Amino acid sequence: MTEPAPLDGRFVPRARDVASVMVDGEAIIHHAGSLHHLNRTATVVWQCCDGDSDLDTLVTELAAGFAIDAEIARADIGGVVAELVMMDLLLPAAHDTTDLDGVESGVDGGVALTVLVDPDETCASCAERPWTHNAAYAVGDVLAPIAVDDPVVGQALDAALAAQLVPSVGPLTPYYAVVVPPLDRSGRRRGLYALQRGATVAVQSRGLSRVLHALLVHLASHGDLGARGLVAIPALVVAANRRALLVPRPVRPVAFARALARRGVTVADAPAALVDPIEREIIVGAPGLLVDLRALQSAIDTHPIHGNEPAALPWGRYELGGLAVAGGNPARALLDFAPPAEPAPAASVDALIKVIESVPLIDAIEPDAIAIALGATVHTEVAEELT
Amino acid sequence: MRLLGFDAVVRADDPVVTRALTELYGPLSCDEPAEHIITFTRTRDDICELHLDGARILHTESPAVAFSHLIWELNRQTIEHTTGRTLVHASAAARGGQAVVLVGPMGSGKSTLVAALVQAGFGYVTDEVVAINPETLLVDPYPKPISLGGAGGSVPDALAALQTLRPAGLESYLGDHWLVAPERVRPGAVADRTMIGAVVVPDYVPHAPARLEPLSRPEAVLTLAEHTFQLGDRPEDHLDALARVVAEASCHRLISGDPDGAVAALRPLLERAEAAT
Repeated sequence: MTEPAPLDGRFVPRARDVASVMVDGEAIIHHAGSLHHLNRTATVVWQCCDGDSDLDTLVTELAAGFAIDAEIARADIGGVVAELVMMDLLLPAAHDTTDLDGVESGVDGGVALTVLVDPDETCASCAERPWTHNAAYAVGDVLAPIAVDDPVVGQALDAALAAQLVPSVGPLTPYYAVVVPPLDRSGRRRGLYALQRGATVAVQSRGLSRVLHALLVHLASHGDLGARGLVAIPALVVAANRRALLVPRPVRPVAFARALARRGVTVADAPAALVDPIEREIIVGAPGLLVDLRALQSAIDTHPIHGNEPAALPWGRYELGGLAVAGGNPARALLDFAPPAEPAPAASVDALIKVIESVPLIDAIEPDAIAIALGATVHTEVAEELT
Repeated sequence: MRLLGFDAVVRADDPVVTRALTELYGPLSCDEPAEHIITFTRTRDDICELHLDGARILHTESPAVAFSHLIWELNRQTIEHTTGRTLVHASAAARGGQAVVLVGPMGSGKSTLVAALVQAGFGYVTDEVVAINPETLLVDPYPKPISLGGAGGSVPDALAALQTLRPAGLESYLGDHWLVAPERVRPGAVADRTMIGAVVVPDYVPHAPARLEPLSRPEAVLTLAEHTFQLGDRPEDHLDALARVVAEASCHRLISGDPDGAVAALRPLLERAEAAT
């Protein structure tokens, strides 16, 4: 369900991927798996929203056509249009991305959505691969094309992110891709699930759950975090005992995560650390993303996990214990955590300086030092499995 | 047997099951080679298994579960394999070349009502899938066994005699489920292809006298669409077919508390439709 958008005279295009039939002047509409029945008034308004008329024009024409007061018509039609937007039968201008052929899209008078594209378009396999599911989701002011090579997982993703799904967009080159290992002859999946961003493997796991949750975190990082009082710092979040440190992103993140896991420290699957500077806390999760996790769980349940691996840091709030910086040097901290840091969202330098000034800078870069700084307890079983 | 677009041979190692299926699916049997094979096996320690084209699809210790799953699987495969038709989850009975389609949620009395209509002399079209040819708007009959009283449902006294018509020896396979061959309800009951003369949404209200209320055409299309299988595959085509069906049919809501009253209320609908054609 789409949140109601401001409809003060802006372009209001009709959703294009709908099937409809008119019966006695009333529309029966099929859209995104749902059926809708519009009464005669709503049907007239819906038919008039053809992508060529803005709301002002619509009000003027219908008020004249039905010989009613323009202000009454505006209130009535505005209400109907808002309801149709809630039903996802109309798209607010900001979400009309039907004619996308470049990075920037949008319609005059509306807010443009920027389509996320892999900077170097290095992932030829992503573009050419015959994905079973390829859809675009609006988060903040970006449009993220996501491909999945499993139809059940794709449908679950659509259901979970129904509020963000922009159905009128055709297949785009995927920015994110969820790779599901194929079934072998015994019906087991051999290989790793992966979240790819272009050519980069962002997360690999033996479990689908971890990859899908990582996808949500990545998506949420494109949202309007500032409006939620959060600062995004391009760093790795590591934690133990509900206390977190921010560590500069290592060159080999998977090996680093395994080394930390052997020492009782867990790493978050996130492209950036989302810091609440007032509470001095780290948010691990997908803040601002309207997501139905039950819909995802239905797909996850069909993919049993095989084998062991380091777990990801569970979603939640963690006390920000400090920034891990060689020598505890503030200037070095600014260099290590400064923007720009594509693909991770980046804080402004001002916001970063405030965080640096408000939390301890800890001289702990190596796994052993990080574990000691967090007072981690080595989990023997995990260490044995990972050794 | 040929079930709309699904052809299958069903083999069972228990002669009771073979005899029952032969009786229940008699109107759908054919001698032509089938594309699919379903096997129903029961071991000495009462383990039942179902296989479809060699792949095991069920393993259970309950014969009743296995048999009801077989019936369900036949329906499922029928729906999946039947193309070029708009398939509505509904019951239907016909008279004079006109069918009354009974469409509504589970528990609204569709199967009970269609059994009563057949008993009263109507032709049996289906109690599960109304298959509409979108070009001709004719309904292909799918005269599967009539399913009554499952899932805790009860059967009205007026139809209690049907209980004696269950295939013999099938008690351990059926539990409290009634499956009745249409030919046992009334010989020659199976209808030919028919037009749709009426669309009726039944509403079972205990002890309520039967009465018909008008249903608007948009509401009728919406109700049919809500019960259309795989509507999302070709929604424009299905909605168009349903709208054309409704344009030619009378549409009503039926409130009733007993099958006899319901039959009496429905009979004039098809007589009017027959006269109109």
